[in-house]
Amino acid sequence: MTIKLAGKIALITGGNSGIGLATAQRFVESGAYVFITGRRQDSLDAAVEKIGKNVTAIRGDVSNMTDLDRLYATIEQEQGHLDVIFANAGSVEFAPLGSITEKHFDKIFNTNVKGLLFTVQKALPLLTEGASIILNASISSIKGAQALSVYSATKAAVRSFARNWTLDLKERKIRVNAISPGIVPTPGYNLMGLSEEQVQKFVESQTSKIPLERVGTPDEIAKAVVFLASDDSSFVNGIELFIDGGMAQI
Amino acid sequence: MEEILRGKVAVVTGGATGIGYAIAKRFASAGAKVILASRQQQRLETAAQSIGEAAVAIPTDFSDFKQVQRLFEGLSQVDILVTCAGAAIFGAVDTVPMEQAKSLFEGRFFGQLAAAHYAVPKMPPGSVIIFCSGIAASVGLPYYSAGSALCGAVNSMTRALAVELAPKGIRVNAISPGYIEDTDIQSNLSKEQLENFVSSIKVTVPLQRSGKSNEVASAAFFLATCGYVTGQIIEVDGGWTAS
Repeated sequence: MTIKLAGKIALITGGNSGIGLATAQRFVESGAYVFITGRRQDSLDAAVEKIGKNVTAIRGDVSNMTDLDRLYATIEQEQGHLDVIFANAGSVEFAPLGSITEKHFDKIFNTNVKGLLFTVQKALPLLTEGASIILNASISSIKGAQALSVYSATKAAVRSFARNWTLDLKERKIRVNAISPGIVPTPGYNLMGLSEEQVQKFVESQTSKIPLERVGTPDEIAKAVVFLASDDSSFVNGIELFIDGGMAQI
Repeated sequence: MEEILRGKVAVVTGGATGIGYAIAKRFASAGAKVILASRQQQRLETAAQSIGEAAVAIPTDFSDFKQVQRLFEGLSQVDILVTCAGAAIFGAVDTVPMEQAKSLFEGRFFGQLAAAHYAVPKMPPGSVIIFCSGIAASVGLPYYSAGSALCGAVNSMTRALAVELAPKGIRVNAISPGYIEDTDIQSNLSKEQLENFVSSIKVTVPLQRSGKSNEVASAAFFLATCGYVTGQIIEVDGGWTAS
């Protein structure tokens, strides 16, 4: 493993499972020190054990401003700065138009849009010149899916943040890019309000729509995040990188 | 450098200079055998020598399909194909020489298509094609009508072939560079026109600078090694197209 992130201090929200955890593992293997956040202490503890070294877990909800303030106070105290942010925490739930409740809307927008925005904004004082910010969007940013309009709208917002923030942060030479995973089964899929069987059915129904004829793995997404976090992508800025087996193209 | 391309054969068109050379060098350093193919024999051989034993020079004019066919017929396997051979023609629509515009398309669009045409039968599952377009595909760049059109054509070809070749296990992606300073692309711009262009970029591009060939090579390396990315057009432009 090459040490592409040697000496870098990174934050991964939602780093306790799935894509966030896989990325935390790759970051640490690549030489970084990683802060991970998540809402559940037991799953954070398990993640820390799995990552093994150079990791601090801080429990918190990105949609909660007090939690974010506490997070950055801790990072400032322990490391003093941040070189990389992977704003990964997100929520997904199905609701077709006609059945969208205010509660559903608030929950998804609060985590995916408000939470992500303030994750980045509140980190600004700690970010170094030339830092790299990676936002986790989704192919839903450009694709329609039944009963997924609110989630998709949040992901279009995230993609748009990446475009605009490149300009807001240009004087500090901070790069901002978005990644858009396709179908990547993770523990998060079980949190969509679906049974295990329903998740399995959903994944199977999607596989036939993927040109590479298979779903992705969290580690494949993690590799893309390492690319965008490292100097390998030093002239890549404001893009949306699809890691989707070609799904966004059809 | 971890040799994750050990045993792989990479064909890099336009590999004598600029972006193609940087990509060939990067792939060779990761253990690949690289075949450099472009028109200028002398420069190609110098480039291959400077990369070392892993590089072979095979002079090929990509606007001549017979030469493209001969190149790939001589190879038993191709794991990575990168097509960077390029030129650029600038000019107002009412003055740009039509024959030059046509030959630009023939070399840079049909050259890349022909490379894929003859390479695909030699590509095993797990192979990857990386085309080279340019951000003129998605921003309106005055005095570059033919070049912009061919960049768009390459992007569309990338999407179509990504879906077409996925069942064969071949991934197809494109790199879309912004302004890269250390290339040797032949264009008809005067020195002064080029300088004006470059200084305007520093205002337009969020990173406020032009790029370097090795930064494009790193993106190509990522596309060559991340197995779930296909159909992607990756802009390496400092944020130009985002703003």
